[in-house]
Amino acid sequence: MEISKLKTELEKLHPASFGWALSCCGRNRADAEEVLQTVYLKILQGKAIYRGESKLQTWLFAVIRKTAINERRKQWLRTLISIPGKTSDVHNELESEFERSEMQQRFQQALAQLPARQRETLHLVFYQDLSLSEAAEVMNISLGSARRHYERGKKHLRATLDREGVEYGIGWSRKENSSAVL
Amino acid sequence: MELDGAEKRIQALFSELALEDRTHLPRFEKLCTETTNPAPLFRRAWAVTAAVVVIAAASSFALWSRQFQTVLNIAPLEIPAPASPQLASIVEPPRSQQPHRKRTIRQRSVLSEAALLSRWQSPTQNFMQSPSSVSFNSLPQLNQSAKDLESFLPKKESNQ
Repeated sequence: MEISKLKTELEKLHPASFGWALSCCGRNRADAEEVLQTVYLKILQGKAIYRGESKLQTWLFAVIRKTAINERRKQWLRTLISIPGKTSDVHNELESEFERSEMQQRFQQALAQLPARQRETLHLVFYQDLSLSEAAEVMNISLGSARRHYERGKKHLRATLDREGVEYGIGWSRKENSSAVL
Repeated sequence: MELDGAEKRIQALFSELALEDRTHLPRFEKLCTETTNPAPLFRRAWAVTAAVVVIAAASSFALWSRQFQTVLNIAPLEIPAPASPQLASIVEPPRSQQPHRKRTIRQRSVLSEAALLSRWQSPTQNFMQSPSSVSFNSLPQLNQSAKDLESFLPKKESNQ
């Protein structure tokens, strides 16, 4: 695929990519931006090549996930050699926490409590409207594993939300993801 | 597949989350243009660390090699001057003996090598010497010690 065409496609997928990067980076906006920037750099410099074997979105999400894992590893090393972090970002995060509705906060806390694989599967299915097979491809696992993570994650999340007393969201207007489970 | 109540509820919450994320979405151009900027702090820190390690390794190697050279130079080899008149005659042949010149030069080099080898001392020779080495290297004088013993021993009584 040509670079200009690829760039256009990436721009179309940019909001979804940012949402997925946020999920991979534990909802840290600065980290998500850094990951996304690294991914775009990789793609535009030809270090990550799309060969058309799967959907562009699936491939892009897999690259984002891998990059986020690498960045997390680097961040761990950074804490080991104690390079000072970005304090302004912490301030911004606190501000956004304040702006967020209480229900959303509880929901995000419940999401954060889930194991990474379950959280990722739920995000890909409910947030990104991907099917389970596509989610499995992004996460580089089998369809059976993806289905298991999906079911368990849903069960855990439902239990937590029931316990917390979280009701329906106000923004409930999207189409149902009827093709989620294949 | 129809979504049940709980799934709808979860999807509604995810939809709300997506809406929230859209409000903080960074511009695509910003992320794409910033890719040409210099490396972030972490990469720079790694580069600095790597450079420091390389410099330290190079300087320590240089120091070590210098010390190694001084150790080797403890017993410098010298080419001795010809000691005997025979040797001198070999070393400085008369000009009339031109055909033998090459052979003479070869002999001289062989002799100088032999002289070097005969004068060679091990660098650890000093460690082998001790104050007690004199007594180890000399033989006792038996007669003298026997006389000393007689003087110390009690005299035998001839009657017994």
